[in-house]
Amino acid sequence: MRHKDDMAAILGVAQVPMRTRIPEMTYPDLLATVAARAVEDAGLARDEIDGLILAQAPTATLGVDEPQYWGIAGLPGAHAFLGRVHVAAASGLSAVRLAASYVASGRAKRILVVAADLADEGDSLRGALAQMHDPFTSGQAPINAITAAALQSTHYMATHGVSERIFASPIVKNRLNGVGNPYAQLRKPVTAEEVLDSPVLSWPIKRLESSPRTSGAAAVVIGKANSSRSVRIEGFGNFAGAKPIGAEMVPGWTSYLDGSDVTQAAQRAYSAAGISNPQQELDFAEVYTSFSIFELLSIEGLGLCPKGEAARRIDAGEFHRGSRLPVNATGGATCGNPISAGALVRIADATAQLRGEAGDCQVEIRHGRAVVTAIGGLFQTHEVGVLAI
Amino acid sequence: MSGAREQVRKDPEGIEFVQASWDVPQKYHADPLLLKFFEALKEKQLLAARAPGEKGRVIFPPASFCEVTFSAVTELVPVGPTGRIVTFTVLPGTTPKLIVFVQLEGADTASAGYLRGVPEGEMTSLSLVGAPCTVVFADEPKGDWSDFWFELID
Repeated sequence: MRHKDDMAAILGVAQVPMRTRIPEMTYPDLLATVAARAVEDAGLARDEIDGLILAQAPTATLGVDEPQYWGIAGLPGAHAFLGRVHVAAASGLSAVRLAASYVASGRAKRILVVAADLADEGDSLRGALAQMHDPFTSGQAPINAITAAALQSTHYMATHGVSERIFASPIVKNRLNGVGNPYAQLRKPVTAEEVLDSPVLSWPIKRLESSPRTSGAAAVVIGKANSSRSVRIEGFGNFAGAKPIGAEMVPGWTSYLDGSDVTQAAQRAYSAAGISNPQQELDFAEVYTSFSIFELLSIEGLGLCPKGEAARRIDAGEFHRGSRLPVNATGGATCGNPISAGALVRIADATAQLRGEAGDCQVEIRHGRAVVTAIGGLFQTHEVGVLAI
Repeated sequence: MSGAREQVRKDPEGIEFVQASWDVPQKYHADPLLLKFFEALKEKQLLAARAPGEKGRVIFPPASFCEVTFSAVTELVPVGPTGRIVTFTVLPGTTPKLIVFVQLEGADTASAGYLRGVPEGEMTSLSLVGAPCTVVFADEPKGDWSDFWFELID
């Protein structure tokens, strides 16, 4: 294993309170705001940053098209090294993985990763997201983010004998956790009955199960550890494959439906970090939960419980904030989902937890280790990172 | 674009916006095997692509490149008409629609389509997962996706 001093680390993080709209700031203003705060949180001066990576989702969620032309040239590091990562909601973690590689190889000293969304400024995401599909094969049926997650959800419920009420348990848990998170967009708890009674979007998915439309921004500074607040990046794993439409479901439809792709990403990350028993070696997990099914497949893919048991265990109290291995202790994407910045928000939340700076959302830190995930596209790109302090 | 200030509008919350749009026309060309697939629909036939080699998977709908073996694909083979439902979802509305993923007999990939003939009260039955089904063609197929759908078989 690599020596701790050789590893890249998270030096600074920043996020803004997530809201439906942030009309007092433009897209470049949002980027500049979180960039400045993250550099300050890292205890650095802006000229000590020698690289910038912009993470982004489909441009309709940003509120601007071609964001690299909208004033990022003035951000720290942009003059030295500029990159842009677009794998939808996985972009933030993917960009941090690239930044960590540059730092670990010595090609850069400190890279700023930044993302922002002004999600309310487009009329609808549907038109933009429709561009993700081959117009010939996508004519079979309307497959979009919601119907794709619904197809996964039905398969999970049928395979594991899970009722709609039990299936809603991640949402109930996360909404309760969001109450204590000052950055969360949704800060009111909901009951399973309220989730089940909300309008069906694409059965079995209901409106209250779906994450909200969110504007927000976050930034992360990656470099070699420079203080006791630095969080080491011990391992990364990624897997890009299954696409839930037509013949493009590779390597097969099973990976998209049973979560074996997130399992592959997790195994790569654990292998790099030297983790053999995640249930015993991790303090908490921050996983991407735009819908209930993503959290269930992620918990199981990360090896935190056996296949098919995540929903029932959450319903029984496991993975809650006060439990032995909390998942989404800040409420996660259920309580606010800026698509470009979301994975950076997961990293910012995990960093705050490991530092003991998470306030009302703080979980118990015993091992000083956590896992973070992101999923991009329609369950197509998976990123898993192991963080330690 | 003319002067942005001229197009400023206030929204119901009093916030000033410039109204604009990204209307970017685009044309696409199809995979040649997919064009043959659409032609065969007019003859009420479903064609899939078979990747080369003994273990070459059968890809439906057809594609000219196998993303598993990284090989070019040229052979077309018939699949169906029966298959098995892998999973489903129901789109609500005055006429709810059942979208299914079906693995057709002879195909290695599952593909989406509509399942018809299921009474509204039975559309959310989890027993549909794994159920056998068959392809049903329109009387006068036109060579597009609307030419066929699925129905349950006993």
